[in-house]
Amino acid sequence: MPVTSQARKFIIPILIFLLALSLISANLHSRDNMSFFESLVVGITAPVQKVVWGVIDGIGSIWRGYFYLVGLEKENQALKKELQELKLHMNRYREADLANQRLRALLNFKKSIATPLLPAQLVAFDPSGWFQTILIDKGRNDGVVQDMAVVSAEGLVGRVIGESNHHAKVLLILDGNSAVDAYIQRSRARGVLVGLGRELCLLKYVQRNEDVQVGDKVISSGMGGVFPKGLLVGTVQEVVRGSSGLFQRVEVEPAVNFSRLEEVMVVIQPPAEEPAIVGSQERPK
Amino acid sequence: MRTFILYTVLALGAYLCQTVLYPAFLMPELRVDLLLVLLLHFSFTYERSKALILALFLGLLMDIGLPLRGCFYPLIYLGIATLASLLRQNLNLRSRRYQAFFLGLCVLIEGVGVRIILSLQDAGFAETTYFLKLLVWRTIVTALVGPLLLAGLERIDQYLSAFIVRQESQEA
Repeated sequence: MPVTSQARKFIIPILIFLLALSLISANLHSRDNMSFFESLVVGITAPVQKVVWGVIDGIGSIWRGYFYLVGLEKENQALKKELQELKLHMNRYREADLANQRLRALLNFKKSIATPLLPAQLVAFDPSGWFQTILIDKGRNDGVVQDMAVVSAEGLVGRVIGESNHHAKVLLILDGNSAVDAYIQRSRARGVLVGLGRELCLLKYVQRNEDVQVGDKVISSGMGGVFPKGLLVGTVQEVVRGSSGLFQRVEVEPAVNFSRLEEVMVVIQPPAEEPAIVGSQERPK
Repeated sequence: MRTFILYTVLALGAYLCQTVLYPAFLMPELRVDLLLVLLLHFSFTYERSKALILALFLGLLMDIGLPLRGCFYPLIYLGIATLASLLRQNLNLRSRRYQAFFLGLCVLIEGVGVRIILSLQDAGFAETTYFLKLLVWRTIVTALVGPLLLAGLERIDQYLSAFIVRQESQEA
């Protein structure tokens, strides 16, 4: 029976299909080893493919990296902004915490002193640099008048030498114009504490035979009617007894760290006769 | 008028700097009196009457925080402004060397004045050695830094005059 041309059209693709199927089936059994032909083709094309793929992959990674970097830049900016805001917040919290600590110390101090105290903030220092004065934000309207003592939690700061309605000028104990009648807490040796124009004071007129040692506390005597009795003024830093002379030279480091002064208190009433307080706060370093 | 407003603003800025920033960041020896520099620049540039008005204003500003009675700084500044105005006619005060010398001289005058006042007030407890050290350092630092500040002020003046000329030409 002759095969019609119509049937041949179907037979040839079926035969090719069967042949391909048999070849694939045969290769399935020997997958570990490539045929010679396969090895040859792979050997020739693989290096080229590798190079081309490498190039494409490189371009792709650059492209992807570019978009990634663009995104990263934006993210970086956003994170930086967030970090700045957080730093700002943190700084504010830290400042509030420190203010809280200082105010607590002042509150404790206020509780321990008998006379009424008016808290005040430091506004400015002396503009000339030749003197040691400060300006505070409380004045006549708050009850501040001349010659009132100014203290901090650490000890004696100075006295009011001028006031306006809302501000007052305070002469620090460091100034050459300042003089405070004081004594050594341990031996009760008396003298006049004067400023040296820098962060150091001098206890003058302490007699040579008086017992004064480095580390002794210096306390205000209350004489003169300006400063309350018993306020911590400073600590003896150096004692020099010369070969001659009536007095010894006693250098005193103030209890108050004036470079870090922020809040002070004005002693509103005249000082009491009896000892009111002995300052106990340590000077912050 | 614009000049006075500008110099008032500059004076207030210098005052704030000296009362707030200086104590926080600078040793007393290194503090240059910015108000003095401002006054000298003004005295070198403008006529005496204007310089005296500024001297009075700056002196009163300085006196605010001082433990002194009377107008110590206005008097010192008026004296310095008068001296600068007189010297302006005879010396080339545009020369940086002369400026350095004159600034140093003014600091010395100021320091000696302060010391005399302290002695008159019977408050000379401030140690002489420390005071002298402070005075010498301030004189040197002012003589070194002052001319640079004066140069900066001259530049500001130039900008101001250029601005005024431009505005006037626009109006015309």
